Amino acid sequence: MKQNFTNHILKTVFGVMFYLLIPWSAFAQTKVTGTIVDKSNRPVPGISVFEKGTRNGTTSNVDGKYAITLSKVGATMTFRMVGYITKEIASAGKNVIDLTMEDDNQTLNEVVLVGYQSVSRKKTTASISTIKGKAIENTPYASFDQMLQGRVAGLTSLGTSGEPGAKSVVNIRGSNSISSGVNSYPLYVIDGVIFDVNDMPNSYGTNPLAAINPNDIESIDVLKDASAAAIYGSRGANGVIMVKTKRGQPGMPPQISANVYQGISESPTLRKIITGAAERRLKMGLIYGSNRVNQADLSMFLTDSLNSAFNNNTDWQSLFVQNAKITNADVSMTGSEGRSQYRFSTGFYNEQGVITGFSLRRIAPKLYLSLNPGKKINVTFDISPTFIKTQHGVGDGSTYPFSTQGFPSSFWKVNQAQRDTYKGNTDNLDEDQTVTLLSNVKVTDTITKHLTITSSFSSTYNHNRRDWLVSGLVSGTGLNNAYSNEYVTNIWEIENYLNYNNNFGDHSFSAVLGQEAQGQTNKTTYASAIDVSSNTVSGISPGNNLFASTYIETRKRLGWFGRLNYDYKGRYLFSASYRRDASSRYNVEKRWGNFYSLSGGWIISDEPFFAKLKNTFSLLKLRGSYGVTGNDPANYYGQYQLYTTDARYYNSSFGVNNSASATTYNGVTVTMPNYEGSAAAKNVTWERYPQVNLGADIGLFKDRVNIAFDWYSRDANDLYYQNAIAPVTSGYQFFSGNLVSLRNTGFEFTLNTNNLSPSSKLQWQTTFTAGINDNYITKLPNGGQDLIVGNSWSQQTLSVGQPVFTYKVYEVAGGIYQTDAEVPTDPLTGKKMTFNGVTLKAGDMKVVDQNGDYNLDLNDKIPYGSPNSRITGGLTNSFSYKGFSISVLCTFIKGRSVWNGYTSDRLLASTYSPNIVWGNTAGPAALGGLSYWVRPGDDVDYATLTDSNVGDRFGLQNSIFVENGSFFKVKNISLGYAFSPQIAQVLKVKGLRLYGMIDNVYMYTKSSLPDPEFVEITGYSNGSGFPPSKKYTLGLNVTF
Amino acid sequence: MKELIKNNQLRYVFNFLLICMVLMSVSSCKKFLEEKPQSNSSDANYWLTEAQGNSAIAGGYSLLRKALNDGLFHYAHGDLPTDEFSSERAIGGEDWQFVQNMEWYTAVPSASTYRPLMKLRRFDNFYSAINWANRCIAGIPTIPASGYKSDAEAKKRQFLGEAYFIRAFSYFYMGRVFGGVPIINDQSSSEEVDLNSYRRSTEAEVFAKATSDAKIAQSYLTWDYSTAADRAVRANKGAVLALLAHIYAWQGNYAACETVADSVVNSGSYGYVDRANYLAIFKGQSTEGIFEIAQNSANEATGPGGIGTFLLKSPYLTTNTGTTSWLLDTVTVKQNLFTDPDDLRRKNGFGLFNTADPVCIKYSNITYTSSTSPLTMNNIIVFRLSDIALLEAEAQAAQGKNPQARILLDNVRSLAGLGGSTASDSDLFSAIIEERGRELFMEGHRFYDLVRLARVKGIYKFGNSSSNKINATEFQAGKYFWPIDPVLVQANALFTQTPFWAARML
Repeated sequence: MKQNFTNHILKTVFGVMFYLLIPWSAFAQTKVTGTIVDKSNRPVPGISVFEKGTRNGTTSNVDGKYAITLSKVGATMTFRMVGYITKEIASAGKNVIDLTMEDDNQTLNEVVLVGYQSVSRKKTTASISTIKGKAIENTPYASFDQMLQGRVAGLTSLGTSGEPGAKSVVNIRGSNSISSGVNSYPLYVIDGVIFDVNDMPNSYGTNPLAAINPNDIESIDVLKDASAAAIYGSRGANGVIMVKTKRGQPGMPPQISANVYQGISESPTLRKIITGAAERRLKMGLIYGSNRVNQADLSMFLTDSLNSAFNNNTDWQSLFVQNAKITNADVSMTGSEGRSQYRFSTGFYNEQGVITGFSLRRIAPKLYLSLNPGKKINVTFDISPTFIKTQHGVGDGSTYPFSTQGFPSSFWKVNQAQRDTYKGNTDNLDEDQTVTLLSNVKVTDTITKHLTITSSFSSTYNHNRRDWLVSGLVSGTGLNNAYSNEYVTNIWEIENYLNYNNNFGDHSFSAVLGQEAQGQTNKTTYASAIDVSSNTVSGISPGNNLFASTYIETRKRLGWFGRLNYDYKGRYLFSASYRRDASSRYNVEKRWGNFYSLSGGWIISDEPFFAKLKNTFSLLKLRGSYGVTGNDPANYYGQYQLYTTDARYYNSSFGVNNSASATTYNGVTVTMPNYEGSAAAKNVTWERYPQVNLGADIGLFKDRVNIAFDWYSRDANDLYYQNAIAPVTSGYQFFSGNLVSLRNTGFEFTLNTNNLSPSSKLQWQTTFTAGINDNYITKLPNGGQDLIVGNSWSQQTLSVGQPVFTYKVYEVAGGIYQTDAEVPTDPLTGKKMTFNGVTLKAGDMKVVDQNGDYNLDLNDKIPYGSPNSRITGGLTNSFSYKGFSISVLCTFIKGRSVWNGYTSDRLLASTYSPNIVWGNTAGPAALGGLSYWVRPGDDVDYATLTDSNVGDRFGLQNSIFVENGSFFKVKNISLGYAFSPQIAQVLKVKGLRLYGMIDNVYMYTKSSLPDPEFVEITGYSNGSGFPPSKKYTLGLNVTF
Repeated sequence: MKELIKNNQLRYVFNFLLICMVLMSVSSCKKFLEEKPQSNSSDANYWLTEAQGNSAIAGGYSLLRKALNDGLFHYAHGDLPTDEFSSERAIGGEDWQFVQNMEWYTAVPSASTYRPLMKLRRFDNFYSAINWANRCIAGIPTIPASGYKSDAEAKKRQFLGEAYFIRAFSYFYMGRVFGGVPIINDQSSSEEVDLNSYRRSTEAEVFAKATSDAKIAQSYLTWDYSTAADRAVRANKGAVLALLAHIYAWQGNYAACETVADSVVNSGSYGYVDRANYLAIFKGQSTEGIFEIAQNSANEATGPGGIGTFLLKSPYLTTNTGTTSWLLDTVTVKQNLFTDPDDLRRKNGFGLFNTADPVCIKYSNITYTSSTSPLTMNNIIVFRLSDIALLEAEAQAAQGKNPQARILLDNVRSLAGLGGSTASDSDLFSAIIEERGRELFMEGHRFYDLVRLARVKGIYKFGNSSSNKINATEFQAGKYFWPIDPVLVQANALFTQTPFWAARML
C-alpha cells in the first residue's frame, strides 16, 4: 500500500511535469494519457487503445489508465474491447483524454456460446438470448434461475416457494412435461460441462443450481430453437442455458475484488384470524344459527370459557414468522501470470427463512486456471466445490406444523417448551448438507492455424445427506421418529472434438466434429426408525422398528456430433448440425437416435441495395431453422420389468406405527413384478422434438433500437408416459411407453432501446421482452381418451386439443340456492337435483348440470383453465447518470389459472363436525373476508358452512376455486453509486461502489392467493407453502 | 529447441491418448451401453437358481393372497350375501351393507378405487396372478440344471405344477364369482405387457380352462411337500384334486367330483382335527388343511381391517368394546344352523353364543403389538378335509348314492359330537348343504353352496325367510353372478355387463 501511494505521488509529479512539457512536445510526437471508466465509474482495464490507421497501440492498466504516444498530432484514437461500444476520439492536440466506455448491451460483435464453439451474434442463425452477469449480480437468491424471470422472451421462471434454495419452474417455450408435478427443465451447461437438473436427485428437493454462485456468472446464453440446441441432441429438447463464469483475461494485471451485501427478508403478512373471545362468539353464533348441530356434544373448548386451559388467545402464526437476515460475501482474485490466466473466488451466502427454523448457507470456492505448457497447447482447469447446509423447520417436512385445514384455534394454551418445539428452536431437528464438486480439465491443441483438437474431462460429484427427526410433539403419534437419507450422484463425461475455422475469399467456414461419452451413477440410502429416544438428529441406533434400504442405478450415454457453419460474404448464412446419441436406457434396437438441424440467415442490411436505408436500418436479418432435438426421460431401467419383493395385501401389517411391510409368503421372500405399478416398455425409445423457428433481428438508428422477433412451433412427439391405464386383463394397473404428443407454438419479441443520445450524460435503456405460448396435446393413447391424473377431488386432464394438465371441475354459476324450492326439479321423475345421489338444498351452490340428468357427478365436470402461462414477459428500465445507476425490473404473466386450495381448505376446515372440531381448530375464525351463506337472502360468494347435504361444496373440484393466476410485479429495484476514481484513490482502493436492492416490491393480481406466482407445478396452492418475501439489501463492492 | 521437442512429445502423447480413447469407445460401444438393473431383480437377470424359482412361486401365492384379501374378497363374496347375515341387522363399514343386501349395482365413483364394492366388482388381482403364473411357466424351464440344489427335474415339476395350479385356481375363483370372464392368451406373457382387449368368455369356457390347467398341475405335482413348513399353504396333488372337486361340483359333474374328492379323502395325507381343538384348524396348517392362504405369522399377518376386526369384539378383540361390526343373523345361527348345544363347533367356534350378539371366533388368533394394534394371525382356509368329504357326500347324494353319502356326512357330524343325520333321502342333499353351513361357517363357502343347492334342488335360501335375496326367477336370470364394475366396461369396449345386472347398472 505504501508503495502504491508512493507510485501515486510519483505519477502525479510526472503528470505535472508532463503538462509543463506540452509546448515542446507539440512539435513532435504527442503523448496522450487518460483514465478509462465504465458507466459506474469503475476503471476498465484491458481496453485496446490504438492510433487509428497504424499498428501503434496499448492497453489500459488495472486502474483504467493508459498512455500512448501518437505518431502525429491530432491523430484519431480508437478504444475497443468486447462488451463495450467502440469509440473513436480525435486527440485534437489534447494530452489528457479521459473517457467513459458505454456497455455494448446488444452488440452484434459479441460472441455467443452455442455448444463446443462460440460464434459472433451477428452471424448466428439461431434464436439465442443473452443475459449479462451484471444484470443479475447481487440479487438476494441462492440460485440464478430465480433471477431470470422477465429477462428472456420465451423463458418462464416462476418461484414455487419462498424457502431459501427452492426450485424455480423454468421452461423455455412452454412445458413438455406430461408427468404431474414434474417440470421439464432446460439443460444447463456450465462452462461447457453438462449440468442436468432433471437428473440430480436429492433428499429434500433443494435446487441443484444452488451449487452455482450467481456472482461467479459472467453471462448466460439461452438457446431456444433447434438450430442452437440440436448440438446437444438428445438433451436439447427443453432448450439449453449456457452459463459462462468469470475468468481471467490475458495480459490482465492482478485484481482483487471484494463484494459484500446484507439484507433483510421482511416477515410475511399474516392471514387474518379472529382469536379469543371474538372467535368463540363467532363460532357459537354459527352453531346456534344452524339447525343440524347437536348442542349436547359441543366441545369444551367452545363452551367452557372460564377454564384456563381453554380460554386462551394464542397467536399461532406469529410463532413461525420472522424478519430474516441475508448475508452475501464474495472475494475474488483475477489476473494473468505470463501466458497463464487465473481466477480464484470464494462466495459465502447465508439466507435465513422468514419462517423460523429454515435457512440455507453456502460456501462456494472456485478456481479457474488456464495454462500454456507448450506454445500450441492450452490446458484449463475449472474446479468448484460447493458446500451447502440447509435446515427445514421442525423436521416434519412441512412449512408450518399445521396445515391450512388443521390450523389450531386460539383457545389452546402453549407453554414455552411447546413454543420452542414449534419454532424449531429446541434442537437440531433437520440438517441437510450437500457437497457438490464440479470439475473440468480441458486440453486444446492447435494442430494448424485453422484446426484445433480439444479433449475435455468433467466430473460432477454430488453428495447430499439429510438427517431429520420428527419430534413426538408434532408427529401426531407421540413418538419420536428419526430419518436419514443419503444421495450420491457421480457423473463423468469425456468429450473430444475438432474445431475448424477458415476463410476462402468471401467464403468462411467453421466446423465442429466430436465424440462424447458419459456415465452417471446414483446411490441412495434410506433409513428410518420409529420411536427413538433421542431428541435430535444424532443418528439411528440399533433396535426395533428400523427400516433401511439402498438403491444403485447407472446409465451411460454415447454421442457423435458435428456442425458446419458457412457464410458467403458475411451475409448469406448457413448452418447445419447433426448428432447421433445412444443411451443405455433403451434396448439394442432402439438405442440410437438421430438429431439434426438446418438453418439459414440473410443479413439484408449488408446488401449493396440496402445502403440507402443504412441510416435507419443498421441491421435487418432474417433467419429460419428446422431441426429435431430429443429427450430421454424414461427411468434408467424402463425397458426392463423390475421385480419387487412387496408381498403386502389389503390391511396386511406389522402393527400400528411399524412401517415395515410384508415381503414373504409363508416365510419365503416373494418375487414378482409390481402389478400396482406400470408395466415395462421393452421398446421404449427417444422422445423426438421437431421444431421450426422463423425470426428477424432488426437494428434501428445506429443500433439505438434493437428488435428480435421469433415465431416457433415445437412438437414433442412420443413422450414417455408412465401411467396409462392398462387393460385389466394385463395384470397391471398401468403401462408405459412413448404414448403422448403435444405442441408448443408461439411468438417472442424482444426490444432494446437507448432512449437518450449516446452522448447524453443521463442514460436510459429499456428492455422489453414478451413471449406468447400456446400448449396443447396432439396425441394420446387408447384412441385419444382423456388421461386423468390426480385424485377424484383434484383432477387434471391430458386431453387432445387442450393444454397439459387442464383442470377438470364442476362449473359453478349463479350463486347459491336461497331456498329448497329453488333447486331444479327433474320434470321426468319429479325429483330435485342431486349431487352424487344426494338432494341439493338451500345454501348449496348452483352447479351446472352439463349432461342434464339432474344428478351432478363426475360426468358433469368440464375442462377449466390450466396452470400453463400463455403470456410472459418483463420490462427493465435502467438509468445512469455519472456514478448513479438505477434499474427497475417489472415482470408479468398472463393467461394462467391457479388452483386456490387456500380458500378451499379454509372453507373445508370450517365444515367438519363444527360442534366438536371447531373447538380444536381455527375453522371459520380463519376465513378472513370470505362471505358464506347463513340465511335466505344472503348475497355471498360461498355456500353454507354448516347446513348442507353436499360434502364437497368447498372442494377443489369446483370452478370457483380455479382462479386467474395472472400478475404484474415490480420485481426488483436496484440502485447503485460508484465513487469516482479520484475518491476511490483517496480511500486507497481502485474502485468503490455502493448498491442496494429491493426485491418483490409490488404485485398487482386478481388472485386471492397470498401470491399466485408461488404455487406448486400443478398450479395448486393451499397457502401453507413457504411464503415469498420482500427483501431489502445494501452492499458494497471494492476493487483493490 | 528443447522446449520444442518437449512440446511435440506432449502433443504426441496427448493425441495418441485421444485416439486410443475414441477407438476404445467405438469398439466396446455395445457393451458400454449395456446397463442392467442393479438393486432390483428384473426379467433381465432372473431365472437362474432354484431359490429364484421358489421365490417366484411364493410371489404367485402372495398374489392370490392379495386377491382373496382385497376388499375381504373371500368372505365378502362367500359369506356376506348369505343367510349368515341379515338385512335387518346393519352391517358396519362403507359398502358392506350393499354387499349383504345384494345391492351390487350401487354406483361407486370411478375414482373411489378404495371402496370395497369396487374391489369386489373387479378381478385385477387374479389377472396379476395369471400373468405371473404365465411368466413362471415360461421362466422356470429356463433355469439351468446347475441352478438347482437337489433333484432338478423334480423341483422343476413342482414349480410348474404350482404355477399351473395358481392359474387354474384363479380362473375357477373368478368363474364362480362372475361367471364368464376373459381367458387370456397363455403365450402372451414373458416380455411385453399384453395390451390386447379380450371379451368375456362363457362360464363353461372358464371352467374348462380351469379344469385343463388343473389337470396339468395334477400331472406335475405329488402328494409330498418339499418341506413340512409348506404344508397346505402351497399346492400339492391334494390341493389340485380338491380344486377339481369344486370345479366339477360347480359344473354339476358330480360323478367326476366324487372320484377326485374320494381320492383326496382316502389319500391318507389328511386327518381330522379333534373338534375340541377346533380353532387349531383356523390358525392354519393343521392336519386337515388341504389348501390355505398363509398369513398367520407375525410378518404376514393382518392388521386392523382384516376379517377378525369385523367379526370380533371384546374380549376376543380388545380394541372393539362395542358390538361386532358384521352382526351375525341370530335366526340363522341360533335357530337354523347351531340348534344343538352339544355341537362342538357351536361350543368352540363361537363366543357369547347366548347373547344377542354371538361372535364367530374362528379368526380370533390375535396378538397385540401395542394396546391399540391387533394383528390377526389366521390363515384363509380355502379347502380342508371336511369340506372335501362333505363335497363327496354331496356328489354321492346328487347321484342317489345315499348310503355312501350318509357315511361321510355322519362322520363329520360325529366329529362335532352330533348323532347321525335324520334327514330323509329326498332331503339328504339339502341336509349335506346345511351340514356344510355348520362345518364351514364363515369360511367363504356358504354362498356357492347355496348356489349349488338352488341349481340342484331349486331351493333358494339366500337370506333368511323375511329377506330372500334371490328368488327363482332372479336365480334363472343369473343374479348370483356378480356384476363387473362399470369402470371395466368403460375401459374395454368388448366387455359386456353380467346379464342380470346389465339393466341395473349405470
